[in-house]
Amino acid sequence: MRKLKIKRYIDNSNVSRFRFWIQIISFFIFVYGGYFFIEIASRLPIFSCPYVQGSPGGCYLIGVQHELNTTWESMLSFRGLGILTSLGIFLLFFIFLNKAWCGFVCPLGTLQDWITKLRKFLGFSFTRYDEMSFKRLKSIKYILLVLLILIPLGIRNSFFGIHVPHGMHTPFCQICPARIILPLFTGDTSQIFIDFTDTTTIIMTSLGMMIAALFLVGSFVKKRFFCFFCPMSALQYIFSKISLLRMTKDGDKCTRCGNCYRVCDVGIREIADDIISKNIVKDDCMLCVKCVEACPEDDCLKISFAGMPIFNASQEGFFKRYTGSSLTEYIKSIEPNKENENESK
Amino acid sequence: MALFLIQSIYAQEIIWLSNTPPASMKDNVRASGMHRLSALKKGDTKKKKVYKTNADSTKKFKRKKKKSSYSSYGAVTNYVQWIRKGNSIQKPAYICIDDSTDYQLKLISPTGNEEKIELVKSKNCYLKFELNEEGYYNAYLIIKKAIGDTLYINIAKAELLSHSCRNGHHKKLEARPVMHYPEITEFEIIRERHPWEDFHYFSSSGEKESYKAFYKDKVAENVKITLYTEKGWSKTMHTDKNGKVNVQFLQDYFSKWQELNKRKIHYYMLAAEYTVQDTNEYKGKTYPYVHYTLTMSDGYRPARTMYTSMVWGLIVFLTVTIVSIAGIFIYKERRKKPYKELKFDEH
Repeated sequence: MRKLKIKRYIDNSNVSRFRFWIQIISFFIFVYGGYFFIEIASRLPIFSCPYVQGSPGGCYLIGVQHELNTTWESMLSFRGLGILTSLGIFLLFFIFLNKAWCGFVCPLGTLQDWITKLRKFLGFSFTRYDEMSFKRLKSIKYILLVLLILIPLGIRNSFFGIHVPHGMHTPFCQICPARIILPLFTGDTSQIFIDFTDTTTIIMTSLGMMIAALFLVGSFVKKRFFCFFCPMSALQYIFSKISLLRMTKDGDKCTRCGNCYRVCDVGIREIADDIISKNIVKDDCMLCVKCVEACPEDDCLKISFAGMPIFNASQEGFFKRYTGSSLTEYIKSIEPNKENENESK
Repeated sequence: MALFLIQSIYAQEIIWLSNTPPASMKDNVRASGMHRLSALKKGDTKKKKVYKTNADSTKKFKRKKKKSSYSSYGAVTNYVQWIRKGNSIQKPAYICIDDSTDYQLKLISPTGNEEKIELVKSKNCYLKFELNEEGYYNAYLIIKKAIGDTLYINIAKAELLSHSCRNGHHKKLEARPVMHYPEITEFEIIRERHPWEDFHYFSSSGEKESYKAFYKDKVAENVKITLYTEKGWSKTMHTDKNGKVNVQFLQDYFSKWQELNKRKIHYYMLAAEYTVQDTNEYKGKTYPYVHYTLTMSDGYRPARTMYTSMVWGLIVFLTVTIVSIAGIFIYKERRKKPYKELKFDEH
C-alpha cells in the first residue's frame, strides 16, 4: 500500500522541475567542480570539457581521440587495454544513465535549454525540421563519430598512403562549441582564437568559431539544436540497448494523440507514431522524460531501471501537471455552475 | 659527430645538464611526454619485439616486471640528459667525466625518494634514469674540487617534469610543489611555480619566471645569476633580499608566420655563482671558503600570441552570427504567406 502511494506520488510529480535543478547542479559541478572537487575525476568518470579551467575531469571524447592517436602496433599491445578500460568506464556510466546524460547532466545541453528559456521569455517563435530534413540531418552525428575515430588513427597510421596532418589531433574538440563557450563561464576567453600555425589549424579553428556561432543562433531558434549533431549522442545510442535505464512504450494503450511529439524538444516523430516497438529510446532521444509527463494514458510510456518502474505516464499525473489540479477537480472546474444556472432561470 | 671529451672538471667551470641530444645520438633519442624530455628509443624497440609472436611474448611475459606506474603500458622508458660545458647553447660542447673527478649523481622523485641515476660511458656519454612518478623530479650532478683554501662545488641541476596524459590528471595541482633538498646541496636554485601551473605547463616567450636561491634552507641574497639564451644573449642579475630574480623570456628570433613552429623549444641556461665564508670539510681537510656554481637549464616555447589571433576569432564568430541571423530572418519572412482575401461570388 505504501509502495503504491510512493509510486503514485512519483507518477504525479513534476519531473521537469526536478530535471531543472539536476541540470543546474550538474552544470555547476562540471564547470566549477574542479575548484572544489579536485580529485573527483580519479574517482568517477567525469565528462566535463577539459578546456574549462575549473573542469574536474575530461569528456570521454577527448580521451578517445587522444588514445586513438597511436599506431596499430601500439594499439594491439597493452596500450589497447588502456583504450578498452576507458571504453569500459564510459560504458559503465551509460549502463546506468543511458541517454539521460544528455537530458539531465550534459552542460552543453543545459545551456541550450537555458537559451530556449530566454527565447520564450523574449517571445520569439521556434522552428522544427520537416520530416525530410530531420532524416537527412540525423546522420551527421554518425559521420562525425566515424571521423573522430578515423582522423586520430590516420595521424599515426597511413590510410592508402595518406597521413592526416597533426593539426587535427583532436578533431572534434577543435570544432566542438563546448570548447569555446563553456570556458566563458569561468571568465576564460582564451579559446576564442584562430590558430595560424598551418593551413589545417586555420581551417579547424575557423570551423570551431563558426560552429560556436551557429550553436548560439541555432539554439535560439531550434530546441536542442546541437544535440542533433553531437557524436556523443551517437556513441551513447550504440550502447543504449544494454542500458539499465529504459523508456518503453505500450502501443496498445497509445491513442496517438501526439502530445509526446509536441513536447519533444528534438522532435522525434516515432515517439507518437510507433506503436509496435517496445523500446522507444531513439538515437536523438535525450531521456528528458517530457513525453512521459505529457502522456495522458496510464502506463503507456514507462521509465524503468533494471526492470523496476521509476516513472510511468498516468492520467492523474497529466492533469496535475498541466492543470495544477486532479482530474475530478478539473472536470468540476469546467462544469457549468449549477447554482448560477438555477439563479438565471 | 659530437666529440665526448672525457676530462677533469676545472673549478668554476660551467657544467650543465642538457635535454638536447648531440648530433650523433639524434636518431637514438625521441622526445617523450608533454615536456619533450629526451628518452632512448631502445625501450620502444624492446616493446615491439615483445608482442610480435606468441613464442616471443610467452618468453617475455616471464621477465621480471619492473615496478612502475607505466608498467601496464609496456616497456620502461629510459630518460637521458647530457652533460655540457660552457655557456653556449647553440654550439654544444658535450663532455664526459673522468674517473678522477669527484662527482655525485642524485635523482629525487616528486615524493622525495632517491631514485637510481647512472652515468653511461659508452660511445656516447649521458645520464640515464627512469621517471616513474607524476610530477617534478630533481636531477643533480655535483662535482667537488678543492683549490687552495677554497672548495669549489659545481652543481648541474635539472627540474624534470614527468607527466603522461594516459595516467590521468587527477593530481594536476600537485605538479607544482617547489622542492629543494638542503641535505643534497646546501646551495640551490628553484624555479618558482605559478599558481595556475599544472602538468601541461610550459614557459613561453614573454612570460615572467622567478627563480629563488637558497643557502642552507634559507633564502640567499645577492647571488649572481646569469641567463644564457639559445641565440647567445646573456643577462646578469643579482637576487634580492627574498633570494629572488625575475626573468622575462623575450623572443629573440623572428620568422615568417608560415614557418613558425609553435612546438619548438628554445633552451636557456641559468648559471648562479655564490661564495660563502663558511668552514667546510672535504676529504679530511677544512676549507674556509666555498664557491658554488649552480646551473639549471630549461626551455620556453613561442608565445601563443605569435600564432593565434583572438581578433580573427571574433571576426569569424561575429560574421557567422550575423549571416546566420540574417539567413534565418529571410527564411522565416519568405515562408510567411501573404494575406489574401478570398471573395466568393455567391451570386
